Amino acid sequence: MKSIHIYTLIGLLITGLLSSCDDDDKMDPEMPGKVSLMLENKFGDANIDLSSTFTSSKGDKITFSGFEYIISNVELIKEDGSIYAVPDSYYFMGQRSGTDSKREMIEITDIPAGNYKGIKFYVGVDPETNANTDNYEKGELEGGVGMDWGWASGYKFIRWDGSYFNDAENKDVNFSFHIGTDANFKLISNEFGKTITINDDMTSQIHFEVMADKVFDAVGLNEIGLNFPPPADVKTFTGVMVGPEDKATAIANAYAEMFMLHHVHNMEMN
Amino acid sequence: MEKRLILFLLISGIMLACNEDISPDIKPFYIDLDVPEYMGTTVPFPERNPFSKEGIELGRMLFYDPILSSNNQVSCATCHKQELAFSDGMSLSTLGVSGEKLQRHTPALINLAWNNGLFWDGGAKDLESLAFAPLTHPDEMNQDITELVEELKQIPDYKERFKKVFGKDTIQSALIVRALAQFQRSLVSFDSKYDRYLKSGEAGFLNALELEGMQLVEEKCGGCHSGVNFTDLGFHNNGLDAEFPAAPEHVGKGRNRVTLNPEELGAFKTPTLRNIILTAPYMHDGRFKSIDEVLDHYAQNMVNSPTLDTLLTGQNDKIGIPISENEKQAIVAFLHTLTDLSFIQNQAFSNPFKK
Ligand code: HEC
Ligand code: HEC
Repeated sequence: MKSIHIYTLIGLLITGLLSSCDDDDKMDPEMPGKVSLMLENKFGDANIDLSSTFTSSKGDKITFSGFEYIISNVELIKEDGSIYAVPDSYYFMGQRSGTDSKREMIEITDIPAGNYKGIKFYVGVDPETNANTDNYEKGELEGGVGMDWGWASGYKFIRWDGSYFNDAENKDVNFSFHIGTDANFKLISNEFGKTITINDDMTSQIHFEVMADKVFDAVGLNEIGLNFPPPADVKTFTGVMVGPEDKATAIANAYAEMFMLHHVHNMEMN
Repeated sequence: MEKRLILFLLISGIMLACNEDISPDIKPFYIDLDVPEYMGTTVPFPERNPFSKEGIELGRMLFYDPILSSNNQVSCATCHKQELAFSDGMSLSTLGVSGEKLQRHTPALINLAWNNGLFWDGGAKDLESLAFAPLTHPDEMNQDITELVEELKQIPDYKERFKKVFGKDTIQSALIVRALAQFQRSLVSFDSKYDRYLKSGEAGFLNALELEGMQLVEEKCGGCHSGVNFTDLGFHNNGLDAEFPAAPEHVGKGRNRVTLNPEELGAFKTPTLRNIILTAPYMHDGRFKSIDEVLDHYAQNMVNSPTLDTLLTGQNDKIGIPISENEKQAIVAFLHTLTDLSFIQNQAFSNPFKK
């Protein structure tokens, strides 16, 4: 008898302890679900790749050699206005120069079941995390993966490189938009206009178009002209690095407006 | 009795299993590094990267290991040499992977744990973040970090050591820079003649000329080279140049490159004066070959500019710091007392791969 009691006790204890290992509060009877956040990189109607040439409304003819940015601190907004903050949500997006692989999709799992009406996320890294670069505890951030500054602590929020036709030089010259620093950490906030249901039985997608043309419509490459000469190649460069300079601020204000919610789907799985 | 023990073991086992990251047998043992009372008794560190003996040792191996560079020939110690208090003796180093001249002079690495901004312009906020710069710069170590991590994972000794230090069965770029930072924070220099004077409180440790020099440095240099570490950790324009051009890469703009504050154009970090006799040439571009040239600069060769530090704008329209020839001698004598031979000979800081 006595031993049975002890083993029951052990059983109860173990169950209790095991469930206390789990951080999620399972108040909702339904199981958590997932959502895909699609960020499709576009220039006007065209998809961005590393070979096409795109023309901005200012007439700049632009070819990308790399198109990268960081998305972080994703929050999903429930129907009742409460918020689910996705833990350690830091994602490297886009396409790096010299590679074929491109990242346009984020899979967010373990979202508490419920009806959701909106999403918030940021371009860049929050000031607290951006104060240093050795952030292996924070999702995909780790440091030294090409989006860190090197000569300063923290990350490049966008890293767009390529070339454009410079009218004054009458030839293609390189450009770089590397923007970071706390002032350029930008909130993107959207309501879906309806609700989507997230749970174990549903598949959901939130689809944005990332309209890079909006940035080049706001800040003309020929208007900036040649500047910031790197040591080797003095007369062939247009760049905006860091911030908050005027131009970095203008670029950041424009990238804060480039995420256009295209649609959300929500389907039952079989 | 026995049952209770089993129960206890079971429960503790389960509780430990909740903590996935650190298993109990490999939990690192954190330590404090002692320094003299006048430096606050222990070496400061960021909360996320406490010292362990094994961590410092791993950092030391990485610091001296050329595997950290793309051609496996350049280590941190290639440019930061212990015998020169971790500087390299060149104005602008050509010791990196490409052999190209670097944009700025290699500073000594002394008592960096107390710094809050690193590099000549303070752009790096801590030693952890800083290490990515030399590792990846094409003219320094030119390393692809992802490849470096893979290379290190192939070496069983490193795998074992990383696990011991960080309690994780993997190697990550962030862990590499944390270990490097632990070692660099351990590079403390407090055993010079001047330190023996400070520790004993007896004037007898310094001779009359050295004591006079100490007074002079306090008076004339202490506005910036302040305290027992001889730096205010601040940024000043000390009158080296009249102009601060943007090319190349804004490096001549100094602190202004980081803050974009026009008042900080041409301002650079005040370096420590500790071991200064060992770390020639001097200034952010290594333009002065000797301490005599430095003193001549402060006394008579200073250049004016709108951001020249107000401590140097002088009296009677003469910019700079008035220093007589006798005073120069006394200052140089005192600067010699800041040389710490045990710092450059300490086995704990030297190349672990050398037998
Ligand atoms: C090719 C030479 C070279 C190599 C290799 C090199 N450094 Fe440096 N180091 C420099 C130069 C030059 C600077 C000054 C850069 C600046 O301030 O802009 C510097 C600055 C530093 C500083 C800043 C010190 C201060 O007082 O602000 C630290 C710390 C440092 N290096 C650590 C390292 C570490 C760790 C490694 C290896 C991962 C390394 N260095 C490899 C040349 C080198
Ligand atoms: C207004 C602040 C200020 C004052 C006063 C000042 N310094 Fe400096 N000192 C600096 C700064 C800033 C640097 C680095 C400048 C640079 O490299 O651009 C420096 C650099 C040096 C260096 C070179 C260090 C190295 O590692 O390259 C020496 C030596 C030096 N100072 C000695 C002195 C002496 C001796 C005095 C007094 C006679 C003095 N300084 C007064 C701010 C000051």
